[in-house]
Amino acid sequence: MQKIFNEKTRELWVGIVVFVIAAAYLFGTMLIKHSDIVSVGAEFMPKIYGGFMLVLSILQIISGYRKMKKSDTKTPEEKPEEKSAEKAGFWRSARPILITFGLIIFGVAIMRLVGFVISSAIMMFGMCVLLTPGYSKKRYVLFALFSILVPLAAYFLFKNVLYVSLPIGIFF
Amino acid sequence: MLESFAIGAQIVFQPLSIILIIIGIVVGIIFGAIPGLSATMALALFLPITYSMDTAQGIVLLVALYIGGISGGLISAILTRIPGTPSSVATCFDGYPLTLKGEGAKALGVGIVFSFIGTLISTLVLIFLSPALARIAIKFGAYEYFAVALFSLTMMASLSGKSLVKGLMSGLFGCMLATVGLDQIGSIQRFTFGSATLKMGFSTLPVLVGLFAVSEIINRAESAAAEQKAEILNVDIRHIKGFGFSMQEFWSQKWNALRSCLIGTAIGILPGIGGGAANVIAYSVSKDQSKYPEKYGTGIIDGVVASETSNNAAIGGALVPLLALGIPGDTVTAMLLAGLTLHGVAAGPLMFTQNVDIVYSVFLTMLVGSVLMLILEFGGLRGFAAILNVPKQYLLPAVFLFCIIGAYGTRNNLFDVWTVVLLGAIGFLFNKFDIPAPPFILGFLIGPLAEMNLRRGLMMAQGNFLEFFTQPIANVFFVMTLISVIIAVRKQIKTLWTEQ
Amino acid sequence: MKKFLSMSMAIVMAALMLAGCGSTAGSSSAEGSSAAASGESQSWPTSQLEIVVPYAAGGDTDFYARTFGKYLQSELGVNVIITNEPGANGSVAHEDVANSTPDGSRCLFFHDSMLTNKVTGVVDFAYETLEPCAAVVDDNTYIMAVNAKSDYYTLDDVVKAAQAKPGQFLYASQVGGYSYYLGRVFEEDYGVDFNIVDVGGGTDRNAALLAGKIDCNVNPYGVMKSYIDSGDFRVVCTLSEERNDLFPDVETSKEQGYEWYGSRYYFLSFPKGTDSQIVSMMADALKTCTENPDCVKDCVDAYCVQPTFVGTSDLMTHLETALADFEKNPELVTG
Repeated sequence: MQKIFNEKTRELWVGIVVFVIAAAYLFGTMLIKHSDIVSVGAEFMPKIYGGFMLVLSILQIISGYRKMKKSDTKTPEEKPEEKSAEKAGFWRSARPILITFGLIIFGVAIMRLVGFVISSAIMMFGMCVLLTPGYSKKRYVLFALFSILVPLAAYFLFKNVLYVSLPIGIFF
Repeated sequence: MLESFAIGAQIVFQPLSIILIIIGIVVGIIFGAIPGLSATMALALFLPITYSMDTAQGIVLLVALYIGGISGGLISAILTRIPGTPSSVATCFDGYPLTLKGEGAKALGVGIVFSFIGTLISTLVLIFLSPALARIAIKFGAYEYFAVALFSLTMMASLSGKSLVKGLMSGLFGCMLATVGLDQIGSIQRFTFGSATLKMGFSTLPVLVGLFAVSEIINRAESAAAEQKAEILNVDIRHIKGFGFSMQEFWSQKWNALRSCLIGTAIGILPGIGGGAANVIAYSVSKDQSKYPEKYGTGIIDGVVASETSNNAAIGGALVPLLALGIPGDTVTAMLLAGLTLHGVAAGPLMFTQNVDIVYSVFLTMLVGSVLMLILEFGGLRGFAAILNVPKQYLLPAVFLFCIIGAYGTRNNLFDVWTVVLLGAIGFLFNKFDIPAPPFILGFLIGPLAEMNLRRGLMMAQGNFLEFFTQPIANVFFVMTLISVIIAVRKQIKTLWTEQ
Repeated sequence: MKKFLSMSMAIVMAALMLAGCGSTAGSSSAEGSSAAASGESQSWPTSQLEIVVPYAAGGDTDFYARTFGKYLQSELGVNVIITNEPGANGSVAHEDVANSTPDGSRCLFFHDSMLTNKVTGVVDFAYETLEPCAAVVDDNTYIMAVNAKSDYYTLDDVVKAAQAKPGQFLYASQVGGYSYYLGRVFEEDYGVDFNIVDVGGGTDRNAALLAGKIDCNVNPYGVMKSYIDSGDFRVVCTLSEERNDLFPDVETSKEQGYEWYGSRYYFLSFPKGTDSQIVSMMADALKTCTENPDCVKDCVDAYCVQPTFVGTSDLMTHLETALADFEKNPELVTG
């Protein structure tokens, strides 16, 4: 992940992505209903934000392009073996990110279905595993105990003592 | 005034009241320290409990919760880079780097002491100047708020770090995110695409929690497997002397602290803005005015001082309009107002004459509470630092759990939990692409304030924008905005010049 | 160290869990329980009642909900909890309750803004997604207040000032709010052109009037009481036909020659499909509360409002008429 999109093109990519976002946002402003209550409608500031963002993204694209050109002249072209090794390295380091993220999305998505305790337990267990540093042993049993007991305790504490609402599903 | 203090003292110096203050501060610190839980939540939960209590004692408990809640945020901000409450966001910027340098205990000590100072000074302002200040505060109408908001937005420049363009993009992105939902004036739908949930808009706590906590978790996950040896983050907790920093360092911060205190108090006094914005603004002003701005973010106590002094000062500030005029200065004081109303106390201009007991109980609770907070946190200092020794694979999932609880608790809607996830992704991407997060926060908090007041002002002025420049207070801030922009532009030109 | 920490945590959690299990056996409460069966109404209320408030804690809606919740708790004998679900002018809470299981464990406490939300287009439904149960407050304490330092004493003064400088007399209200509607109705009926400005919510409007940034404020008496008592505000009139017992010195709009009346119902609703027996049992319980002298005292002390019970059918009539009024002249609601 360190070399994502290369140092060379990273700034350029930022500009491009922001440009797309700004354009989409500006498109969205057209859907805003206009009203005359105030001389300046609800679509006014969003258009300003979108407009500025577009300008900034263009500046970013320019500076990113320049940076790319500059580093192109400085560093020699990569050999094809280097490029494929880079790609492999990218996926290796991207995997934990994608898994963690996927875990969280999954957990929140099923929360309404299985309830707060179970989905939190799943997410926490996954995190315990994913966050254990390489030199440390993964203590799965301990993780499981931890991931089940802490949400349960929190559930009882918040729901029955403090009366805070928690997402409750079929189970709990 | 002395008799009034005597009346207040009769209430506050009872054993029950002192116990309530201690409980309030301890519970408040817990709520403040755990990311996802906040001072607002603490008060919302304890409000019903105060029904059966004596009015004054109920208020004493709530104020103590407030103090503890705001002060507790620094603990997780410094130790884990996750702010415990929205008021401690800026504490992360320099607090965590200090921890990485092995100076976590010092950061904690600094945060605690200057939280105390912030509370103390703003309380003195509250006690002696509130009626006068409150009358000035209400003179701030739409034009003035717009000018203040505009000025605050220019702080994006100093928070941008190396690239002004990326900083401004980040800030604008924050403004843009805040526009999703219903517009504040006409309730017109913006970017909701027919979705019922998007109509709610993004709420502050889930946004901050996602931006910091979830992105931190994903960051860690990325590097965890590759970690071959333990980071030497473990702080030597047995050898912390006093508060962890020297008298010399303390005195070096006097102007920084004083200025941050004034900023925090002023922002607190203005209804509608509170500690959440105060700490970020105080941090960027501190950075601007410093002799070594480039050091901010690398781990210097100045950043922690600015943030923690101002957010605690905002407590005293927010109480000014509440006690003097019955107008809450922020969301937490709005809860206090609810508590007062529920007990049949009419908060308003007559409070100082008709409810002297309550007013002076609040004063004394602030004073006593801040001292007790100092003592309690001092005692807990070693314990807090021990948190660093808890393995991240247990600490972070637990933090995540509370973030979910806190996020869901804002409006009892899963949308806020999804917000946490979304902002986690955004925060992670910001990190990867070197996009600064502080401007985003500023844009998200202040952007809506600016827009709402611009439109409200135009309603008043019948569409004539020039009316905005007819008010003296507003003009002061407009001028400050102009100066701020000029300085930022000059700095940027200089940077571009030196790069060539 | 790590092992000890995790072990002790596990033990503590296990203990908590065992303790918790005992107390919550059989709490098949609101969320997620099976669909309502007709037999269930016999045992209503079961374990707890949740009242959802569409605004953040601190305002008058929240206050009434909490106050009545307190008395309902003793009346019904179950735990009553208040949940705040602010957002989108109250429509978030509305939708949430409308989609809840209609078993009588969850209800909404809202007011006439439920109707204006439909007119302004925030949502495309009103009370038809709910079973309105009963109203407990008919807030007819709307007054017009001005800054005591101003020269306005009667509605005639206000009209004169507004007509002298059209579009300059500053009337504070948020668009889509009830006082906005009242202001527009007055403008239409009496041929004046106010400048209706948004300065924020109840407390912000008080601040604005105090500072002289607006010329008048129309809101319930209780919201401005402390400033009236302190002499900072002057009351021009009440928006009603009869004088109010709690502040009998204030003239009515009718006495001053204007037919300009305001009243807002605060009512409780269940999700659509809730058993009618539950609805009527709740209505009875609410009626008892409105007659409870302690409850009355709480409301009067806090907001100078006396609870009024309005039964289910009368409430429905009110809602239907009010909505029809709003929908007839939508621009009076939306501006």
